Amino acid sequence: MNPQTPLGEFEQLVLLAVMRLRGDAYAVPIRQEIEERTSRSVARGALYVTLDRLEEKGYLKSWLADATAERGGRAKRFYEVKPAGVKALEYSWTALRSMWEGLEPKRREA
Amino acid sequence: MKAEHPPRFALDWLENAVPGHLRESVIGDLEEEWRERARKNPTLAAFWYCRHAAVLALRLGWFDLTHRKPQRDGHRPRKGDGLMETLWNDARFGARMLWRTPGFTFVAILTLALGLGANTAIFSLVNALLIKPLPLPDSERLVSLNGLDPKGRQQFISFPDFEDMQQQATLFDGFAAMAPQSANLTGRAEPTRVRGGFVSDNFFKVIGVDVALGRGFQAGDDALGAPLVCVLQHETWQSLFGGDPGIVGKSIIVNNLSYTVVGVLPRGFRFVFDEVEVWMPHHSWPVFSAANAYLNRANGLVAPIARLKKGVSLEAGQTELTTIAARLSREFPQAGEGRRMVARPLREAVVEDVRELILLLMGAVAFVLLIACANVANLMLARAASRQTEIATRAALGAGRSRLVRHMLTEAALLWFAGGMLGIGVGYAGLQALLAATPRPLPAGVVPGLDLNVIAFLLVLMGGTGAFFGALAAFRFSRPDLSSALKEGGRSVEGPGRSRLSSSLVVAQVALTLTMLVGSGLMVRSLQKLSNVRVGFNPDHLLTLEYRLPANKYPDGPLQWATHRQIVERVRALPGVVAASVVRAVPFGGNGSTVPFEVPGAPPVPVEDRPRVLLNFPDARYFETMQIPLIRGRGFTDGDVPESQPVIVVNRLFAERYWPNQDPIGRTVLFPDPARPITATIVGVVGDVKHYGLADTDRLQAYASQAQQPHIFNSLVVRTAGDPSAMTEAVRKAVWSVDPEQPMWKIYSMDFMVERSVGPRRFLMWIMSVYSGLALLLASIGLYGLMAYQVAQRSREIGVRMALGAQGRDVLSLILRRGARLTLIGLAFGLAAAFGLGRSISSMLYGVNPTDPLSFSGAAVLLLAVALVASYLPARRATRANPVTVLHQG
Repeated sequence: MNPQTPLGEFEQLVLLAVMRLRGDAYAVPIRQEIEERTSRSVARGALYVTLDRLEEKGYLKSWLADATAERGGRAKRFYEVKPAGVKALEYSWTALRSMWEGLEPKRREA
Repeated sequence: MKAEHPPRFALDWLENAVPGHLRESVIGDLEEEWRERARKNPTLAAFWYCRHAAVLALRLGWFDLTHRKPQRDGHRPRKGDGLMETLWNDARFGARMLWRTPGFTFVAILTLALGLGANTAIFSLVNALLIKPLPLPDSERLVSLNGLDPKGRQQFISFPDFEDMQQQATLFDGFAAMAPQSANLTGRAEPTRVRGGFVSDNFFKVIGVDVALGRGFQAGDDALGAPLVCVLQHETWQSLFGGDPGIVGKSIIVNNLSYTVVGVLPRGFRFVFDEVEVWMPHHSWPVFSAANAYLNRANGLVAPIARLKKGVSLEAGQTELTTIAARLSREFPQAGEGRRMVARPLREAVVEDVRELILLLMGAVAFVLLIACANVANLMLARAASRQTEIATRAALGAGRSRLVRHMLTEAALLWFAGGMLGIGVGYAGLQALLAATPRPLPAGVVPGLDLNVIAFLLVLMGGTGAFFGALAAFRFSRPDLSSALKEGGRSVEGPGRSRLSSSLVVAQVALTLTMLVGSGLMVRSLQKLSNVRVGFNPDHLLTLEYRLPANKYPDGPLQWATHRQIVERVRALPGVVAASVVRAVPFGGNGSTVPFEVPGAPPVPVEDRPRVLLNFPDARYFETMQIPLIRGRGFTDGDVPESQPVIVVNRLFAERYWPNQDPIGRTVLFPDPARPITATIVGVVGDVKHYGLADTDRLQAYASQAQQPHIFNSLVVRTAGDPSAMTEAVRKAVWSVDPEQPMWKIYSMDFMVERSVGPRRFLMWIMSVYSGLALLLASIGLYGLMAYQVAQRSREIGVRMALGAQGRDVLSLILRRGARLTLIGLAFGLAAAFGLGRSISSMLYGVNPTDPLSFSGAAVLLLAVALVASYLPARRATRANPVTVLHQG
């Protein structure tokens, strides 16, 4: 049941961003999504590397769309979360929630 | 105007570095964001794009390199392979090829490391001393001034001349006077000698240094009668005053005068000449006001330091000084008509002592560098040639020429890198060793470190040589005649050009090495001769030290003399002391002065051509203490007192020069000191003594009785029964029993001082020997490499010869002859160069002719022997080979 390599925090953010964007997920909006929601800056290089790694692990799939003019004739690479990715995210969420159990009220006070 | 594309070159970075499967989307994404920005501000957007393209190219290029499986070598890069990956593959391939030939790799890296390291060490020193600006602001505008007397001899500038110069000069920002002199710091638990600097009040302004604490000197601080103030060196403040934060405003006692500390200099500041610890105003310099010296235009007192105005050249400044000096000399001819003033860059004055030594070192090292470069070149050529078959095979299988060349250059780069890293280590160790061994302290404040510029310079130089020859070889061999190279079954074919080039490189190495060997031979012989020199006294079991009585505490001669006598008598009374004496200047101590004299009856000479004699002032027991042989007459006695007739003792040379074959006893000599001319009677003749160094030529020497002419600055010489250094404490206590506030310094044994005087020579000898050993090693590696290579090339021919009945002996002599021929040609060139070298180091030689036949023949024989061994080893291997095997392989 447990995924072989647990997800890192940044990996979770990337996977979640891809899920939220639903079909419009390529690097530019993914980065914006994470930056806006978490108010932290995301290095482009790190994002590409993480996307590539997640695809290699089988959590993401990607495909090249048709070229568009406003990108200098370059195609976008779109990403979609595969079932294994959803599972890994759920595992991470469960793990975190169980660790938080009983601590949440205190956190709110602080 | 709207930009259509992001900057092309930045786009290229991405094209080259981003791995294939990401390239399309990454470039597109960045362009999309760029377009957004370019609509608002195209210029900023362009910068933005470049910045992010560079970061992405590096990040993703590195990702590609580290996370993807590299391809097998030898393939053309696939269309999608990034630049980084190609480089990485080339490097891996190169490393594997180098690994396969460990001998070559080891020799190449060793050569590079030794050549680089040896040179890094020396050039770092040269750079710090001769090239980098002095550690003072705008130091290139600082000049050091001194006077020249009418005969062109250096002299100090008198204070009135200095003041006039200061008023009349317009091209200088300021003139500062400085006189270093040791001073006694008292009022503390133990009296201490400090190095004092007596300066004019503008000194710190002229050299451009500000205090860290308190204030510097102010205008008027150096006026006669002004309250005494002083400025401390940071380190002195720390060590002697415990870094007392309230030091400013406190008083310290120097030379029995109370000075108020007004400031502390910044940490690490050292003036470049002497490491001055306490800075005091000029007028409190004892010499300054003694007998109103500062009013006397004929009394040289200062060697000023001046700062040229911005934009004024040294020549312009010098011209102005010449004009002023000429005017002064006309107005005041009695102070020396025709006297001049000269300015030279402060750096030159500072490094004067070590300059010659350093330049010699640099010459020696440049030779090693040349030899190392020749080795590297030869290695690259030999390697390319021996790999012809491999290259041809790869070319036949479709490797492009550019790829082949790139591979060879990558290999060279790997060697450089390894050799360079190792070389930096060698250089660091070398520099530390050099600094530890320098015979003279480097000018204060000049701290040579391992210099990155130097390393870069040398890497480029050696890299350039290697790359040039490597590329030459690569181009020559990367277009192989495929059919013939492969058909001849792996026997590489060598063009005559490559052989000739390699041979001339070996000849050059031999020539350079011989030059170095001769140089070190000459140095070794000089030292041998020096160590046999007689010093004229017995230097064993002698302890010496210096001290200076404060003039204001011991104002008159009789009191000074009484104190000296009391001191020396206390020391004599110590158990373990055989004899002790007081003398103005002890041999090998570096002190000493010459005075002009006249011998009545000798043909009269113009004032400035008067002969000079080294005059020393010992007490009555000095000759006995030093064991200087008395040849005629008597030494001094306790009867030679101020009231009696002035007497002198002269040395053998003096007596023989002025009274050959006559008795000099009873003759008189006149010392025309303008203040107090003295006519002295000769009472004795003693042996010649080496005073400044072992290499001294015999000089005129005379001794006057210290009892008759007391001095405040004196040395003690103590002959001990046992180890002289063991007596140090007892002697110090004996001096303090006379005056507990009297500091003393330079407490050395005579052995040490004699040894120190040959320091520079010994140092140069060691360096020359080490470096010529290095040269010999490198040259024999070069020769060995060439011979081994040629033997390998001719193995088939040798096989045929032996199969046809040639004896091993014949083959051996065939190869040895070739090695010997190259060596002999190199020797011929080297001998010519060595004659030149001998002349340039002649000032460091002693008792050896620069063309000393023993050094020359010794070096040549040694080199020839090493060369024969270097060619014998490969030759023997050739004769041992079984002809059948060789022919089969070939």
